[in-house]
Amino acid sequence: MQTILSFTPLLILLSCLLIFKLTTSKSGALSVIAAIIIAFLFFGMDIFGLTVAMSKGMSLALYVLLIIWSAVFLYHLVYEFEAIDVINKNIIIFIKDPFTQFLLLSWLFSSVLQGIAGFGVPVIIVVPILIHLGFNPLLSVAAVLLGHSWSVSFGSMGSSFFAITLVTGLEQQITGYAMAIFDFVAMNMMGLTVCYIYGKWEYVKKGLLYVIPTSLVMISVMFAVLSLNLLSLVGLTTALSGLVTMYIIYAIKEKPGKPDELYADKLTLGKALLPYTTIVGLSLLFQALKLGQYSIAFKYPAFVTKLGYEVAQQASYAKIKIFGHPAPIIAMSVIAAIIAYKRAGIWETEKFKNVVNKTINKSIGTTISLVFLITMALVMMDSGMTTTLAVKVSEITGRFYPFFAPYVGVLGSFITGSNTNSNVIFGKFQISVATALGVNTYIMAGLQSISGSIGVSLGPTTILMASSASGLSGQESEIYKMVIKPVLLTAAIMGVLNYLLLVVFQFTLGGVL
Amino acid sequence: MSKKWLALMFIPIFLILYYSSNSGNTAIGLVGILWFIFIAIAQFIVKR
Repeated sequence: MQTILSFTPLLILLSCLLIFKLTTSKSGALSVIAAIIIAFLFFGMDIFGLTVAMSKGMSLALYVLLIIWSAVFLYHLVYEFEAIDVINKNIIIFIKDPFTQFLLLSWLFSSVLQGIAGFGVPVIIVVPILIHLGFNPLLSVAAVLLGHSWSVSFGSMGSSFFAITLVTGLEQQITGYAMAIFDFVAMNMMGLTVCYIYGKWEYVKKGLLYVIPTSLVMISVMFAVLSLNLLSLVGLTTALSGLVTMYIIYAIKEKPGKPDELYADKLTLGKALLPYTTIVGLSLLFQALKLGQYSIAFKYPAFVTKLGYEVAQQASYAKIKIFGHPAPIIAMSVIAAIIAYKRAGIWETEKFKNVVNKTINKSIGTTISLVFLITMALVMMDSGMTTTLAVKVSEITGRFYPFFAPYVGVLGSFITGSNTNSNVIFGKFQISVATALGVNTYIMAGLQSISGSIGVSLGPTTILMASSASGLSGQESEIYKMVIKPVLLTAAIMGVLNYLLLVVFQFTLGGVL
Repeated sequence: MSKKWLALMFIPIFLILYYSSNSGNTAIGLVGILWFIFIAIAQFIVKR
C-alpha cells in the first residue's frame, strides 16, 4: 500500500503529461498537491515537517532559477543586439565542406550554445542556420536535437548538474567525474548519429575521423575543468574545445586556407563574444582568488515523521556563493556587454526593454513548473516516500536495476522536457535504489544526469520548439520517429556500462562503494 | 490575475515557510502551505 501511495505523485505527473497532455506547470501543480496530501495523511508528516520540506524545495528552486533567469537574460541580450548573428556568420566563413558544416554545427556549435544558455536556444538558433545553408529541415531538426543532447547536463552554466547535486546531497566534483564517464559515451554516440543522419553508414565511417579524436579531446578537457573545480564552465569549455579540435582536424584534412576577413557588422567578433569571454575570465579569476567564504545559505531543523523517518538538520542548505554561483558571474558579463554595446553605438533602451520582457515571459512557466516539481521531490524525500519506492524497485529488479536506470532518466526528461526536472524528480530516487542495492551512489547519479541529458531531445516542448523553428509544425511525429531510436540505443549502452561499473567491477568513486 | 503575479506570490510563501520552519510556528506554516496549494490550484483558473 505504502509503495503504491509513494508512486502516486509520479503517476499523476506522468498521466497529466502523457495522457491528458497538460502543461508541465499544471501537471506539477496536481502532483505536488498529491504529494502534500499523501505525505500528511499516510506518511506521518505533520505541518512542521511539511513546512520544512516545502521551504527546502523552494530554496533549491531559487538556486537553480537564478541560473536559468540570468542565462535566459544574457541570451536575449546578445540576440536582441545581434551579437549572436555575428558569431553565427563567422562560423560559416570558416567551414566550406557541407558534411563538416552539418556535423560541426549540429553536434558542437549547438553544444556551445547549450553551454551558454540552453532551454531550447541551440534548437532555435542552429536549425534555421542549417536550413539556410540548404540542408533538409527534418534532418536538420533531428541532427540538432540529438547532436547537442550530450551537453545538456553540464550546459546552461551547469543548472541540471547543480540540481542533481543539490537534490541528492552528493559532493559536486565527484558527481561531475561520474557524469563525465557516461557523457563520453553520449558525446561519441550523438556525434556518430549526426553522421548517420547526414549520409547513413558511409558518413559514419567518414565521421569517425572527426568524432573519435574530438570526443577524446573533449573528455580530457571535461576532466581537467572538473579537477579545477570550475563546475559551471564544464559544458561551455568542453564544447568549445570540441569546436576548435574539429576545426583543426578539418583544416589539416581539407586545407581550406585562411578566410579573407572575418564577418563584422556593428559589432566585431571579439565584441560579440565579450559576454562569454567575461564569464570564462571571471570564473577563473574568482576560482583563483578563493572567495568561497562569501555566501548565502539557508538553515533547517531536523525532524522525525510519525512513522519514524528521520530527516537531518541542515546548517547550510542550497548555499549560493556570491563569487562562485553562475548568476552573479553572468550578471557581471551582462554589464560588460552593455558597456561594449554602448561603446559600439548600438545601444537602444527600447531593445533593452524587449530583453527584459522576453526574459520574464520565457521564465514564468519554467519558474512555476520548477517550484512545483522541486517541492514535490522534497516532500517525497523528507516524508520517506522516495526511500519506500526505491526499496521496492530494488527488491523487484534486484542486481539488474543498473540496466534499467538510464530509462528512468530518459523518462524524466521525456515527460518534463527538462534535464533539471528529471534530476529533481528522479535524482534522489536513483541514488536511494543504489543505496538499497549497496552500489556506488555517485555512478548512479552520474548516469541519471546524462541519461536525462540525452532524453531532453524527446521532450515535447523541445520537439515543438524545433518544429516551429524549422517550419515543420504538425510533423512532430516524423521528428519523434527520427529521434527516439538513437536515444534508446544510447541509453541501452549506458545501461550496460552502468551494470559493468556497479555490479561486475564494483567501481568505487568518492571513497564509497 | 496573471501567471506573473502567481509566480511572484512564491516570494511571500517562501518567506512564511522559512520563518515557520525555523521558529516552529506551525499556524503560520499552515497559512504558507494553504497559500501554496491555492497557487497550485490557480494554475487551472488563470489562462495567461
